[in-house]
Amino acid sequence: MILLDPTNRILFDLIVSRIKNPEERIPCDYLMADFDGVLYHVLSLKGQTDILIISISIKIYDDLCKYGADSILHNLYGENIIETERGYNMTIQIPLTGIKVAPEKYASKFARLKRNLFSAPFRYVFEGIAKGETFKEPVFQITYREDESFFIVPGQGQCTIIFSMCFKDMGDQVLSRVFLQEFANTQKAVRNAPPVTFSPNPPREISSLRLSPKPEITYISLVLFQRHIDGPKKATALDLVPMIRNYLHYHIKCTKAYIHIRMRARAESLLKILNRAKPEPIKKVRKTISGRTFRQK
Amino acid sequence: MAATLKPYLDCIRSTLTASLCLQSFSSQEVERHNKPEVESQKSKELICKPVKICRTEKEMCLIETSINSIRVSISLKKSDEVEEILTEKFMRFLMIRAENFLILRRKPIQGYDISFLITNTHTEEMFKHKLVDFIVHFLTEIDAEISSMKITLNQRARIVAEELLKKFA
Amino acid sequence: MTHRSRQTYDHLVVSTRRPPVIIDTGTGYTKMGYGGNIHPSYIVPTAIAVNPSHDQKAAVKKKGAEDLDFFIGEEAIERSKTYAVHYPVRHAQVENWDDMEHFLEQVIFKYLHCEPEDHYFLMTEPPLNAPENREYLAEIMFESFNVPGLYIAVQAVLALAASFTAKKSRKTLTGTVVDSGAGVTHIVPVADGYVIGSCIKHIPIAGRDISYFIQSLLRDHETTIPPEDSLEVAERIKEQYCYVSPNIAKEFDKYEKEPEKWVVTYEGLHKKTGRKWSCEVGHERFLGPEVFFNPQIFSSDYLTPLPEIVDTMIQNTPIDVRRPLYQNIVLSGGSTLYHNYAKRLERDLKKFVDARIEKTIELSQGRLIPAPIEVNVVSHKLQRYAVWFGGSMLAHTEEFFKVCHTKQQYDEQGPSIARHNPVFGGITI
Repeated sequence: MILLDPTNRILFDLIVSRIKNPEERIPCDYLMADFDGVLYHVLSLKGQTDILIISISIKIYDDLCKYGADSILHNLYGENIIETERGYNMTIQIPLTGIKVAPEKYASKFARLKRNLFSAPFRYVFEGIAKGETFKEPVFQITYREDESFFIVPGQGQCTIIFSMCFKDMGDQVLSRVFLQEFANTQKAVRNAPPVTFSPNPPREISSLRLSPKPEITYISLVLFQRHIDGPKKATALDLVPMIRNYLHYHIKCTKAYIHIRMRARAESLLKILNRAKPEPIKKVRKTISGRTFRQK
Repeated sequence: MAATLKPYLDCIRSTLTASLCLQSFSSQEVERHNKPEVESQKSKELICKPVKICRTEKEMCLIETSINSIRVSISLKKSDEVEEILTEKFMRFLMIRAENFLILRRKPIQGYDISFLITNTHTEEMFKHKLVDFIVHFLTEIDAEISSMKITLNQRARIVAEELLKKFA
Repeated sequence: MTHRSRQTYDHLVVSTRRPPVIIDTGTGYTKMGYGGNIHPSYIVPTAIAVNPSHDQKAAVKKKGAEDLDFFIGEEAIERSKTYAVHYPVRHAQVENWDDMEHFLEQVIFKYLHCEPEDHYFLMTEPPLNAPENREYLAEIMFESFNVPGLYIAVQAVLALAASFTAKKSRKTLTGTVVDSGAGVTHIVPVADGYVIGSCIKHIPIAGRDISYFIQSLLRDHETTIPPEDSLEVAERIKEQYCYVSPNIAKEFDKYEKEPEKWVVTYEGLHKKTGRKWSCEVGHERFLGPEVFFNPQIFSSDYLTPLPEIVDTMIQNTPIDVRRPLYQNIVLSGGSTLYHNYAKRLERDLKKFVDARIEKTIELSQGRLIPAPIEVNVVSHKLQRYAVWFGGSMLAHTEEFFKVCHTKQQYDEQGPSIARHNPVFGGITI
């Protein structure tokens, strides 16, 4: 698995299996997590097990709503939205019977709730650029994790997306630089790939925000041109861009796992060589061809 | 660079072969105890002068001998930060498994990447020339492994980057 | 109080507010989900399918990311024709750490869909697990996945905690845990939350063996079952129709007299042709689980019935815990789900116990009359994943975060922090 799927698999499988198998519609009260600090509360009440209630909690919900998240939500989920549960940002109600589309398509819509919310600011900017609008704010900043933010800098026919990523572990920092260098080099290898640059200092596009550089933080800039965010490409870009931080961290972890695998193999081979240093144990009891036994004392 | 490798390894090999003359020696400090003298460093007459074989400023091998034990500490070539963390991870990995490796020390000596401790019990159980072979082999293997891992790391990063960015193109 | 930078402290606070991740890797199935929930989110086979053209041991790779081409769980079994399927856990112990590391990658990033740096983890270990295995697990979790905290729990103690939900339960951490999964059955005595390690018993009979047995019984008289699916069919029949009978002779009689009441028809579809086939399931229904109580019907290698092992084991424990151990026998694992399993175990065990009391009275010529020993086998609705559920409940408590090993400790002291599991020692949790 190389690319991360923005769809939440647990929600997807839960909805699909409950639609297809009525006997699985048991009352439940689950708490689930997702990337980027998102929490879900999944409820199925006794006596109303044909309905699934999902509440989502996102730290940056208000920021996302500033950039059009609530209108996107109303468009996609309008008829499912119910009163928000206390402690959460949004609650939707999902009927499990009387569905006219394929269960997988139906479930996918709800399992992509987090993706739709997170991609809202990007969608706002992409659609604005396509229409040739000018934006009031030069920079959109959303701090979605304690030390990490993303910044969207819209421009003429293009937009620059900047991520500030925090790598607490020294080893991770070094590995991240290897990956990011390759990200930057991809422009030469793949035609039309968006250019990527990275640096420990805040890039000039966000210099107005006067952020102080910290050793654990790296800034990654990605420039998307109109051709990257037009037509069918828009949906792909909205799937991938908000997940870039998770993608990088995922691959750094997989690389560490891979390094472990190689180290295990190498340790085993070294051990074999060391064991060759031990002399073979003297066979105490040997038998000759004619059947006589020879015992060494 | 490769030109200095063979003399370096040869030097280590001959020094080790000369110093691996170990015999059991009861501790003079504590009754009925038998400690590796190179670790306790208490009696001056039992320890020999340590020998440091340097290939470059960074790559060196320190061999400390005593009457019943020798300590071999190795500092590996770490030409850039990637090799540095790969070396650190690898040495840490091996040191966790020090029990299986018998002659490996759980913590390296200050200033070095990894240390071996060979005592008279080890030389009684294993062939000396094979032990020396092992250490020389170890040095070449580790270098090869780290270089190979670095290349694979870059290849991997390239694939990861391309897979993502080609979706935009 | 060691100085912690503001960043790490905040991060810790955040991780403790998020639900911990509970992963229970068994020989047959892995149960995974978030703490605080009653049911695990996924119960998948502990299997990993790797691309056979990619040799994991080869030092030089062509492209570099082929090790990510693998599938786990149900998806692995589905691809058994094109990929090589490995089972990293055998007899409850992890045998292949490379496969295990890959397995956990997809468990975290694909199925549970979360960032491991944000959650505390609870993993389980079988009884009699070597301390090195705990170190290796800690190495994977802290170094590869950067988890902020890890707790490695003994499966038996979690199963005991899970039994508190049963009506009959005494809500005590003293009891005998009979944990029967797919690969192996363990009988573990636990006293006040500490495992009495020297008395743990293994029985080499478990779910998979019962499936093999049913498969061979079916093969004898049913010819309609497609041979490539026969083990899978045997497993399904086992899960749907098997039960424990009080007396096999009487059961045989019942089947003779009223076959239409007891014999069931199982229907299936050919995978390739799509044609329907059906077979009759008769004696297999009660002979399958009978293997626990009469192992000689299955194999000549192992002959001691389960109740006898439990009884012998309890008699080997320190004398003051024996009564409590008899009073709280807890079942866990999928292979204990058969109907009447608890009743039969209780009845057979009581026979041994009563016989011993009778013997005492006889030998002392009536002078010593011990108080009758109460035998109580507790079964509850969550037996199938009792261990997971116990973990979920434990992770939901305040103390959980205090007993976990943290990444800070790991970085400072190394993996040896994971070697010591408190339930085997003297520190109370």
